[in-house]
Amino acid sequence: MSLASMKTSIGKTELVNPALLASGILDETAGSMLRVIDGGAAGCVTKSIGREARGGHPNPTMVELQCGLLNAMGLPNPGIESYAEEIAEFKSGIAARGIDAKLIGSVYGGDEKDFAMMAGLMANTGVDALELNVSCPHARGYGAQIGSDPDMVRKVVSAVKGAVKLPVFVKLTPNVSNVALIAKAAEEGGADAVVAINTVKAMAIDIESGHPVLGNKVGGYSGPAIKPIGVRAVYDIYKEVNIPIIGVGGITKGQDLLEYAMAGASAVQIGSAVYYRDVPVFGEIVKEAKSWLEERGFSSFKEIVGRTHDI
Amino acid sequence: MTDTPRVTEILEIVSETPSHKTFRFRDAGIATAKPGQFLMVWLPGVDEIPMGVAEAGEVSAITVEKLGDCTTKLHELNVGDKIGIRGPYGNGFSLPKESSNLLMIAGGTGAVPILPTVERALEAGHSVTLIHGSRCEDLLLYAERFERMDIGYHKCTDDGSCGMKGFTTDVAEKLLDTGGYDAIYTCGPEVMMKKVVALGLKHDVPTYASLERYMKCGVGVCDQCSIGAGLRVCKDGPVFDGETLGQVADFGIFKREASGKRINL
Ligand SMILES: Cc1cc2nc3c(=O)[nH]c(=O)nc-3n(C[C@H](O)[C@H](O)[C@H](O)COP(=O)(O)OP(=O)(O)OC[C@H]3O[C@@H](n4cnc5c(N)ncnc54)[C@H](O)[C@@H]3O)c2cc1C
Ligand SMILES: Cc1cc2nc3c(=O)[nH]c(=O)nc-3n(C[C@H](O)[C@H](O)[C@H](O)COP(=O)(O)O)c2cc1C
Ligand code: FES
Repeated sequence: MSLASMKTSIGKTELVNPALLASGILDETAGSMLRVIDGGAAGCVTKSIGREARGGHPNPTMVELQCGLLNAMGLPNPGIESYAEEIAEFKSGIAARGIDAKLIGSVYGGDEKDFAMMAGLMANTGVDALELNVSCPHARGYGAQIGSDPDMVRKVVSAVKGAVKLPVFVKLTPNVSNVALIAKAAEEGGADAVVAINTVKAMAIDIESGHPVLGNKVGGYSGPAIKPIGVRAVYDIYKEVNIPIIGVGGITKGQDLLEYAMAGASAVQIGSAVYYRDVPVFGEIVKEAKSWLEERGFSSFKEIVGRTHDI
Repeated sequence: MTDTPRVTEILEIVSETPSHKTFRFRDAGIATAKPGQFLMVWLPGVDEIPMGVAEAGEVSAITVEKLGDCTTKLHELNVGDKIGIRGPYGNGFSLPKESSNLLMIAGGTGAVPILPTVERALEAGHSVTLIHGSRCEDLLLYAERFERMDIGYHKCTDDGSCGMKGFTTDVAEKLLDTGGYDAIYTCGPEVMMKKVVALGLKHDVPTYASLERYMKCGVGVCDQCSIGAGLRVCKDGPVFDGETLGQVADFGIFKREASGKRINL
C-alpha cells in the first residue's frame, strides 16, 4: 500500500493537511489554539473579531440538539487590540514548536468601510490570511445580512482587497436561496477563496416552560445534521467559481472530509466535532481520510478534490 | 442524555445564610454526579449559570449565593417553580484509593463542592480535617452540618465573629507544619487557592483546587473558560492539581469577562 500525501493548498496558502479549526470554536485563547494545532490541525481560524469588545448574547448560548449543536454566541470577542495579544502568543508558540501551522484571522463588520478597517487591523497582527464573516446568522446588523446580498458581498470584498495584500477568504451563509450566486459575487469582488458554510438558522423551544432555549431565542445549527447542506453548497459553488473552496459543516470523521473534497473542497474546517470527539479529532480525521485514500490506491488528497464533478 | 436543559420543579428551598439558599430538585442526570462536578442552571428568559453540585442522589441540590442578576432572581423563586438543568459537567474531586488523612480548605461559597467531598471521603473511610473560612459568622455556609460530622473542624472569619480571626491559609500553614496529611482539597477565592497550592508544594502534599471561570457552553467548545495551555475549566477541570496550576500563568492573576478580555483578579 503506497502512502498518500495529505498536503493541500488554498491558492497560494500551503497547508500540511486539509483540516483547519473553524471560527468560533476553541479560539478565544492562544493556549487553546496551540492545543488544537498539537491535536493535528493544519491551522486555525480565529473567532470573528471586531473593533471593540463584545460580550455576546446572554446564556444559554449553546446547547446540544439530537443531531447537532445550536448556538447564538453573538460574536463575543475582546476587540482587535486585546485579541492581538492572543495572536502574538499563538505565533510565538508555533515558532517555538518549529512547525508549519497557519493562522487565518476572521473579522466582522457592519459595512464595507468597517470590513476594510478590520481587515487592515487584523492584517497588522501578522496572520497568514483573512476570513470575512459575512454570514453570522444571529448578530443583528452583522454577518448574514450582508452575506445574503450579492452586491454587498462584492463591495465588501473589493474594499477589503483594496486595503490589504493578504489572501482573503469569504465565509458564506447557507441561509440564502442560491449560495453559488453569493460565491460568484465574492469571486468578482476579488476573493481568493470561499468558505462554506456557516451555521444554518434554527431554533429550539423547551415545551415544559414554553421558552426558546437560547438566550437570543434563535441561533445557528452546526454538527452532523448540517453536513448534507454543506456538501450541497460546496458542490453548487464548485460549478460556479474558479477560486478554491473550503468546506465546513458537520465534519466529524475522515469520510466526511473526503465527501466535502469530492464535492469540490480543497480544505475543510472543523468545529462542532470538538464536542463529539474532543481536541485530538483534527489529527484523527486526517489519519482516517489518509487510510481510506491509501486503501484505495490514491497517492494524494489533492487527487480527489472535485472528483464527483468528473464522474 | 443530551446537553440540553432539562426542566425540573423545585421541591424544597432552605435559607442557609443571609446570602445563600439551597434548592432541592429531582434530576436523573445529576443523581450520579461526583463531588466537585457542576451543572448549568437555566432560569428561562433570564440566564444560564454554572453551579456546583451540593447534594447528588434521588433528590439533588445546589446552593446559590445571591450576587447579581440571575442569582437574585433564583433567590426569588418558590417551591413548585421550574428551573432547567444540564450536566453534570467537569471532572470533580478524585479521592485517594487507600485510607488517607485529608485536609480540606473551603473559603466562602467554595464550601459547596467541599460539602459532598467531605461526605464521600468519610463514607470511604478517610479521615478529614476541614478549615472553613468566611467574612463573618453569618456567612459560614453549612457550619451546622459540618459540626455534626466526625471531622476536625477549624472555623475562621475575617472579623473574628466566629472561630479564629484570620485566614484559612494561616490555619493551614500551622496544620501542615505538624505534618501527616496525604492530600489537600480546596475551593474558594482564587487568591486563597493560590496560597494553598503554594503551601501544598512547600510541604510536598498533593493539592487539588476547584477553579471558577465565566462559562458559556459548559462542554469544552466555546473557549470562554480556558486557562493556560488550553485547559478548559468546564471540561478539563474545574479541579486541577497543584503541579498543573503551577504551569498556568493565569492562575491567581487574571480571568476573562464574557468578551474574552482579560481582567485582573
Ligand atoms: C464551576 C463553577 C461552579 C460554581 N458554583 C457555584 C455554587 O455552587 N454556588 C454559587 O453561588 N455560585 C457558584 N458559582 C458562581 C456563579 O456561577 C456566579 O456567582 C453566577 O454566575 C452569578 O450570576 P449572576 O447573574 O447573579 O451575576 P452577574 O450579575 O451576572 O455577575 C456577577 C459575577 O458573576 C459572574 N458570572 C456571571 N455569569 C457567569 C457565568 N455564566 N459563569 C461564571 N460566572 C459568571 C460574573 O463574572 C461576575 O463576577 C460557580 C461558578 C463556576 C464557574
Ligand atoms: C459555538 C460556535 C461559535 C461559532 N462562532 C463563529 C464565529 O465567530 N464566526 C464564524 O464565522 N463562524 C462561527 N461559527 C460557525 C462555525 O465556524 C462553522 O461554520 C459551523 O459551526 C459549521 O461547522 P461544524 O459543523 O464543523 O461546527 C460558530 C459555531 C459554533 C458551534
Ligand atoms: S464554557 Fe465553553 S469551553 Fe468552557
